Amino acid sequence: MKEDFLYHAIHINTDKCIGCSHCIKVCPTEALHIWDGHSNLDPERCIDCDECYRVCPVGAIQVEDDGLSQIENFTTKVALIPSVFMGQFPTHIKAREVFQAIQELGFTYVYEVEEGSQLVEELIIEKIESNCKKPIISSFCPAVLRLIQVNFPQFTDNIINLKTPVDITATSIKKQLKHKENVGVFYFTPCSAKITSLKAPIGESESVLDGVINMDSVFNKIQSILNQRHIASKRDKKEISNNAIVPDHILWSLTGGEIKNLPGTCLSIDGIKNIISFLDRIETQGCNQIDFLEMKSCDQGCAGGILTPQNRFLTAQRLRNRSKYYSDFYNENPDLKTINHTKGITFDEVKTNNIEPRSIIKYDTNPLKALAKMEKTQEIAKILPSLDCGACGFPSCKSLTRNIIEDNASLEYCFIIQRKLEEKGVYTSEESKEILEQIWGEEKFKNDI
Amino acid sequence: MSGITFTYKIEGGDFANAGKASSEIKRTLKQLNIAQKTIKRIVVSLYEAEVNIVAHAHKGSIDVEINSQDILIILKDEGPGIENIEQAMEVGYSTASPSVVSMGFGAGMGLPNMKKNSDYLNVESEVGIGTTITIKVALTGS
Repeated sequence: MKEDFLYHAIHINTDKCIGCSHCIKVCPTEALHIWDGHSNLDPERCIDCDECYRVCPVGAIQVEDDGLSQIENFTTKVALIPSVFMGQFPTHIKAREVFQAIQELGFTYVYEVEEGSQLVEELIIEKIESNCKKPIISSFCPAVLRLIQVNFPQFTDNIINLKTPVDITATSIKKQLKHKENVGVFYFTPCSAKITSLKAPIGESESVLDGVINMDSVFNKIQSILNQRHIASKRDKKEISNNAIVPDHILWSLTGGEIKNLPGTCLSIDGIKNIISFLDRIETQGCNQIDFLEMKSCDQGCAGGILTPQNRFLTAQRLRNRSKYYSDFYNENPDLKTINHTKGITFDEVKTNNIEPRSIIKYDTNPLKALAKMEKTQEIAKILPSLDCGACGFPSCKSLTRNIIEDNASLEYCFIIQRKLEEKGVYTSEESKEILEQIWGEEKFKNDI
Repeated sequence: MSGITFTYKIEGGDFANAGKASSEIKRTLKQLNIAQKTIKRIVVSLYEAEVNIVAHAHKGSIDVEINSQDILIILKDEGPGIENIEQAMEVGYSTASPSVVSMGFGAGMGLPNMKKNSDYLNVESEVGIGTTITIKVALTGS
């Protein structure tokens, strides 16, 4: 199957969108622009980083949600829970209580994602110690992978060909439950990028997951079960399940979580803008010293995902507490038997294909045509005001220029150009207003002054 | 085809901004869809040369000319000049001050790296006046 670049889990609800232009300003790949009074997404440029969702004041940017009913298509229903989900609940609520509540929602089994981190860690260490191209780039965050594909094609070769802990754990669960009837594995996702990854996978033909459950909507259901049962009064004091999670791996999805036990020089970066400036730097200045790069699109890693209902800093702190609790517990109970469900998975089962570049930066695949377009760009740049005001509906003068070159826009979208043309008698003020109405919608011009 | 030209001004000692011009030129090359390996070669030479100006000279300029065949980069500085160009071309030879070395520059790889990564390299220098470096790299599409 060919990768489907055009699918995204994020959508703009044009009925709700007021065309305020907040989102176009924060998009790191300039994938958004305003037309007809609302925001429009260019699916080729979008990398699923969710930055637009964060700034929308009216909730017009929405994440596709397949809902809980999708699990009814399967007989054996498996919930795959990342540790950040546990971090949504106060420390006094134990993992077992949450797991019980998840089972009450209809799931047959509950597994923790970070079991798969052990194998990932072993294979990363092997790779670091091998004589391969450095820096090795983590394959963890799908938004980062897409960013590299479109903006930093040079680094696609550096991405490790390795599935994420979610996929590895899902693969091993399916192997273990193969005698069960009609098994469906569902991942509780903290962001839209993982939904996109399921429906339009990168580096593999098909996702091993059968569905994703949006963390924000399932959180409310779990919370109300926990409240109803007054679980607090008859609480099971034991937190630990017999799932074998290395205490450090509870922190895997947080910033720095992947590199905690790695040898060599490793760096972790969070926040999509920080990642862009770092990649830009090493692309220019080279980078001989770094062995492994962990990059997570959200601030604080997955704790900062847009579908996590709780504060990211509190979530991160709770996970640190939980990790310490596990660590102490294992130390006090050295004879405790745990089962790591990912044991026995082969390397072939965790390998992914190479991630192919698909530059959105290039003006044209033919360098000659690209050069001609660039000459045109330089001419346009001399005329435009370099204000980056966004009044043309595009986030910057550069973005408007690119769209003029691609025949998606024209010079007179710029209101300063409009004034100049009015002055020269090319346009009447009524005609200028019509252009602005096309961009921002007629509604905005109806109020009396 | 006439091609396109860019000019950048470089301030000596401005290490905070060392690499900015190289970064912008790199972006242009990516927009032109030049083969990644070629971009890498150009940027390595260019960055070395840009840092040389920052590390050694009072000020300088970078002129870039891109046409369908190749990229021509002329880096001109007002600075101490190079006394012995032959020696400067040797791997590991450096005249960088200890403070410059402490910032991670001045490993004596500048000119040898430029030579290795370009199709044509010319160094002209006058002691006490300045240095002009000309780099040419043939362009191939990706």
